[in-house]
Amino acid sequence: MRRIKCPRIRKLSADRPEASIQQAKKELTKLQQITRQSTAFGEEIRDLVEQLRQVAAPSSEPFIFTSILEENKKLLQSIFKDCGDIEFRNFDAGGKSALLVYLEGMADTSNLERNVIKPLMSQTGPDNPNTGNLSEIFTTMKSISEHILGASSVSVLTKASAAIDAVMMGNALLLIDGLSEGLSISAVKYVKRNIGGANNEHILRGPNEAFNEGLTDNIVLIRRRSRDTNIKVQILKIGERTKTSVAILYVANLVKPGLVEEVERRIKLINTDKVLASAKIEEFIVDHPWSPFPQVQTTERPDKVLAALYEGRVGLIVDGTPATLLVPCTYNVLMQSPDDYTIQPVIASLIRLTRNVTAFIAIYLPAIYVSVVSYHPGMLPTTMAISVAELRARTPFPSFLEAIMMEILLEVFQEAIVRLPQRLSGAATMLGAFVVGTTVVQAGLINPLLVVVVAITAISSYSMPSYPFNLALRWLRIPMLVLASILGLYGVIIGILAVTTHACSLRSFGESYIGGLFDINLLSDWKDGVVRLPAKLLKKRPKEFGSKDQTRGGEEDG
Amino acid sequence: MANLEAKTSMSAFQLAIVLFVTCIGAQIMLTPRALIAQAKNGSWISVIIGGVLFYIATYLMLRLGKKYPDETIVEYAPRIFGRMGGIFVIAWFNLVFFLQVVTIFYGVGKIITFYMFDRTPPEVVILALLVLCTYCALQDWGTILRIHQFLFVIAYSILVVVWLTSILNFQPENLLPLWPVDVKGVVAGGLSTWGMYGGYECVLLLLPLVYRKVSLSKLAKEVGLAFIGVTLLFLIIIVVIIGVLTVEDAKNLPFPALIVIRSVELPGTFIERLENYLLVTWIPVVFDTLAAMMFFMAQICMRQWRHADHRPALLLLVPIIYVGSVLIDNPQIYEQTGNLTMWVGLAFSFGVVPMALLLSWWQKGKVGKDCG
Repeated sequence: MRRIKCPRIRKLSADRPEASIQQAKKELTKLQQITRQSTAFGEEIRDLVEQLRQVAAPSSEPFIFTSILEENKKLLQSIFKDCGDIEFRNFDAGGKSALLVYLEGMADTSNLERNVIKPLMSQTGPDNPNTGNLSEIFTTMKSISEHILGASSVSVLTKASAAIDAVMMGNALLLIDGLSEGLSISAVKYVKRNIGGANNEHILRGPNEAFNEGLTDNIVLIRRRSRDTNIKVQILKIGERTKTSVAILYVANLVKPGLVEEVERRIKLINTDKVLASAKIEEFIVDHPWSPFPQVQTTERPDKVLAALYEGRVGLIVDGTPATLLVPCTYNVLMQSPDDYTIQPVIASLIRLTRNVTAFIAIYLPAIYVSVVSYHPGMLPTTMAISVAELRARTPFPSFLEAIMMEILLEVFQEAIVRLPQRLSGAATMLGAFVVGTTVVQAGLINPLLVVVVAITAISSYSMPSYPFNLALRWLRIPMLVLASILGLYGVIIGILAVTTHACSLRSFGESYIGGLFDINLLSDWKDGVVRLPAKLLKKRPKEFGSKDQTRGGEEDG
Repeated sequence: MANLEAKTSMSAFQLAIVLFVTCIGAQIMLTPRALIAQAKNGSWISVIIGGVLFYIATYLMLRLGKKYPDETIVEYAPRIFGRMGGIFVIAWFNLVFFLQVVTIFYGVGKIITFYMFDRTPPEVVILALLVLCTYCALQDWGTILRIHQFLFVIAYSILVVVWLTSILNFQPENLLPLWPVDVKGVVAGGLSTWGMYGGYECVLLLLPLVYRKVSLSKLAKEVGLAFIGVTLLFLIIIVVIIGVLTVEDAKNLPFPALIVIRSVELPGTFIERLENYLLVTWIPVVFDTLAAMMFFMAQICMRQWRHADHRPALLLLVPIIYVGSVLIDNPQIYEQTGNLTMWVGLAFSFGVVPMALLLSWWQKGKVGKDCG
C-alpha cells in the first residue's frame, strides 16, 4: 500500500505577506476611515444641495421647494409678505409637521377642516387599518391625496409659481415636512353675484338668465343648456400680473378649421399686465382696432353664446366680467336679437328689415337733412320747402351748426343718464326732454324740424340690438354732418360709399364684416340673416362662418 | 394664418357681376347724346350691335385667357409678342383704362357741378370722388368684389326704379321710324357704343381667379348673361330718352338722361326734382366702375414691375389721373379724348387680342411640331 506524504501546513501569511492579520486590520481601519469620511462628505453634499436648491431656482420660478417645511414656510412668507389675508395653518399630520396655506375669504375653510385638516390630524399611530402603513403613505403627496384626503379636486405641484397661483386663485396649498412638493386642494369659495337677469339685453320671451362675473359659473350656464361632449373649453391665463383666466369655447365638430388655433394664437400674443374686462381682450384680438365698428360680438346671455357655438363660432369667457365675446362677428349677427326667434317669422323678418333701415337713418338722417336744407331745398315739396325756410328764418345759426349743437346736447344727455344713479337719471331725462324739446326751440336757437330729425335719429340708434354698434352709428354721424355741410348730398353719398367701403374691408377672423350680406355665394344665409324663415326651413347653418357640418340636423338652435 | 384670410378666387357669376358693374359706369349719362346724334332712331339697334360685338371681343379674351389659365395678360404678353412688344401691349392695355378713367372723372365733375353745385369748381367734385375711389382701390380684390356685389344689389336696383319713373312721360310715337334709314350711321353707332360697354377688358386680369374653378363654356355663358343685362339696361335708357325727348331734342342736349328724369312729376308724393335722386344713385355706379379700373391699372403696374403690393403703384397713379382729368377742360377736348379712347379700346379689342390669340396658337403649334 502506497503511503501518501502529507506536506507540512504553513500559514498563508508565510507565502503571501499581504494576507496577514495585521495587514487586514490596517485595511479595515482604512475602510472605516473612508466610510466615516464618505458619510461626512455625504452630509456635506446634502447640505450643499439643500443650499444650492435654494439658490438655483430657474428664472421663471421664485424659489423651489425643499423637503424642510420650515424653509418652505419662510419662502412662502417672504412671497406673501404684507398679505394679511394669507393664512398659514400649522398642524400635525401622521407625526409630521404640516402646513396649510390659503387666502382668507377665497377658500372654503369648513371644507378644508372637514376634508383636509381633520383626516390628516387623525393619522396618529404608525399603522391605520383604513389607510395602511403611514410611513409609506407619507412618502409622496400623491399617496396622501389618494389615501387620506377627502377633497374632490387636488393636484400635486412641484413648481413654486404654480403653488402661489393656486393660493391666489382661492385653492389651499398643503405642505408636509420631508416632502419637497405641495398639494393644491380645490376649495374656492368667495362672495359673488348670483345668476340674475340680463341687464343690457332684455328680451320679451325666452330665457332671461345672464352671465355673472365667475368663470366657472358662466361655463356651467353653457354646459347646463347642452349635454354635447363636443363643446370644448380651453382655459388660458392672460395678464402678467392679474393672470386672468380666459375660457375659449367651441364645438369641436363644427368650428371652422383653423379658427380656434387663430383665436388661441391671438390671445397668447396679448402682452399686458392686467385684464379686468373682456373689452380689453377684444381690443387686442381684433384686426382693425381703429375702426368704430365692433368686430367682436359681446353678450351676457348664455343662450346666445350657445347658439353662436352651434353656428361654428368661438366664444371667449373672461373671468371677472359677464360680457362674453363671440368671434367671428359680422354686421349680420349684430343685427339679430334672441327675440327674433321667439316671435312669428314674418314679424321677425319685418323687424329685421326695419332694423337695417333704422341703422341707415341713425347715421345719415341728420346729414341728409343738412344737405337738403342747405344745398338742395328744391328736392322738397314746395309747401314743405317754404315752411322749412320760415322755421329756419327764426334761428340764427346755419343748419350745420344747429345739427352739431343738437348732437352735442344729445350726447351730453345720454352720457349723463348713463352715469347718474338710477333715481337721478329720470330727472335728467325730464330735464333733457324739456330743454331740448321745448326751451331750445322756444328760445329760437334750434329749428323744431331738426329736433324731430335728431329725435328720430336717436331712437333709431337705440333700436340696435348691439350697444357697441349703436355707439359706432352715433360716432359716424359727425363726419357725415361735416361732409354734408361741405358737399351737400354729393358729400353724403361720398360718405355712404366710404363707410360701405370701410365696412366691406373689415374682417373679423377672416370673415367679411358686411360683404357677406350681399355676397352672391352666401345668399342662402339670408334665410336667417336679413329675414328669418320658420325654424323647420332653417336646415343649414350659415355658410358665412364655414362650419364643418352645414346641416343642423333638425335642431332649433337659432 | 390657416385658411381664414385667403380668398383669391371667385365664381363665374361673380365675374359676370364685375363685368356688369365695370361696363355700366358714367357712360349711361354721358354717351347717349353722341349715340343718338349718330344713329338717330336706330340707336336701339346700335346698342344691340354693340352688345353682340363686344361680347365677341370678350369671348376672344376668354379664349386667350384659357390658354394661360394661371396668368394675366401682363405675364403672357411678353411671351407672345416678345419683350418690347409685350411692354408695348401692356402699356396699351393700361392706357385703355387710363383714358376711360380720366374721361369719366371729367364727365362726373361736369354733371355734378352742372346739376348739383353750379358754383363749385369741378376739380373739387373730382378730387372728392378720386379720394374715395383711391381708398377703395387701395383695398384687396376681395373687398372690391364685395363692394361690387353690394352695389350691384342696392345701387342698380334703385337706379333702375328711379329711371323707370320716366316712363310716365314716354311717347311711343317718338320712336318712329323704328327701322332706320341711315344704316351706315347705325353701324357706326354700334362701334361708338364702345364708350358704353368699355371695361370688359378687365377679364384679361381676372381670369386666373376664375379659371381654376370653371370651364370656358360656363364662363362664356355667364359673361353672355352679363352682356345681356348691360345691353338691356342701355336699351331701356336709350329707348326712354328717345321716347320722352325725340331724337331731335336728345341730340342737342348735353345730358339728355337727366333732362328726361327732370321732366317727371309725381303729383301727390313727397318726391320732387327726380334728377337729384337719379344722380344720387348714379354716383355709386360711377364709383364702383372707377375704383375697379383704378385697381386694374395699379395691378397692371404692380405685375409689370414685379411688385408684391399694388398700393404704391396706385398712389403713383392718383396724381396722374387727377391731372389727366383736369386737363380735359372743355367739351371739345372731352369729345376728342372720348374718340381717342374709343379707337384705342377698339384697336386693342379687335387688333391686339385676336393677334395675340393667333400668335399663341401658332407658337403652340410650332412647339408641338418641333417636339415631335
